[in-house]
Amino acid sequence: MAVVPHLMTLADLSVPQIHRAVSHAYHLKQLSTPWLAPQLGSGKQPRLRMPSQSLFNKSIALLFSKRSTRTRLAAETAALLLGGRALFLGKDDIQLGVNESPRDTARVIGGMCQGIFARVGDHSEIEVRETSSFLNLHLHILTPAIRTQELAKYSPVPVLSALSSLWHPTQVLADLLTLHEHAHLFEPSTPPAGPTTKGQTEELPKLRPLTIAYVGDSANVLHDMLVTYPRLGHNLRVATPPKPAYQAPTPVWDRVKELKCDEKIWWGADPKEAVHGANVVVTDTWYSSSTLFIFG
Amino acid sequence: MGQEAEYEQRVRDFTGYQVTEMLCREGGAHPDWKFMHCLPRKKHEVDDEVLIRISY
Repeated sequence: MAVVPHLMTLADLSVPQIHRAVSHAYHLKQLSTPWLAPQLGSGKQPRLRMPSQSLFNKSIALLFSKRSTRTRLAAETAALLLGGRALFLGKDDIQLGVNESPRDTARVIGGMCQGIFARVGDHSEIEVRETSSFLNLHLHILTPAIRTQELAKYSPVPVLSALSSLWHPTQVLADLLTLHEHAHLFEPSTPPAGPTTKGQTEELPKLRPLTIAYVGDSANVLHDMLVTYPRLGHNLRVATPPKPAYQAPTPVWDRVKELKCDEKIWWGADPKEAVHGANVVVTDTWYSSSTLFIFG
Repeated sequence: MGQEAEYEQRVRDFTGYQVTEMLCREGGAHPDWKFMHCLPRKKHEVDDEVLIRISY
């Protein structure tokens, strides 16, 4: 059987693959915006062009055991515009983790859906530690930790991570798209991209090498930044509090080193030093990585 | 540690890590620096002044 491609982190993708994903997203966004948000147009009726129906007659399982606004909306509307359908499977909708193993669930879904977009929990140890009542502890034991990686291991169809405790690849792809869309802000002499030429979509604007700073906790969004931005030529400057709990976990730093990204990363404890020379400053929730609000 | 105690500990640990205009000015960020956040955003991570200056 052919190897099934999965996406757990952008560390799994090569630079050309990342570039292709962002370029394709830019193309699809131009086609989709008049359908999704016609009120954002110039006032005159935009010419509606149909995105390629690459998901025609396909079903994508959205396996979400955690809350989501943006990711769920984006995934459901994207599947529709590409001619397919997203099946939202919340934690109360299916058996996953209650009395069915990840292996069985992955095989059943893979027998009827052509892809899985998963935001499932993997912080069960913390729930145990945080929970004192017998009842909750009991419920926890009935709910084994389901990891995206486990689903991927057994799934016959591609599994894309829609956020895990360690990684958040789709967020960093979206951030890259945002940076490219605003590339002119970092090149004062370059005007923003003009109106779309008839029948064609604009090429992805080129982005010059930037200095990107991150101030906060070492969490999933930062982790995908660490394995991605340096490979695209950007310098990364990070400040986290000096305690061991706020440093990058070993599995993350191993990927950073493997991809030789550490050469373009400055990491310290002083936020002022981190933002020095920054074109872009990024942060994220710091009350997240070890709490129940992790997927807030 | 209970959730509340952990929250309070984190508030102490992340004092000074809020993204503000002053932090970026004093730290020497580029004068036209841009801010990105994946949302939802809490005020203790970034203050309102930064969000008001957002240029689309």
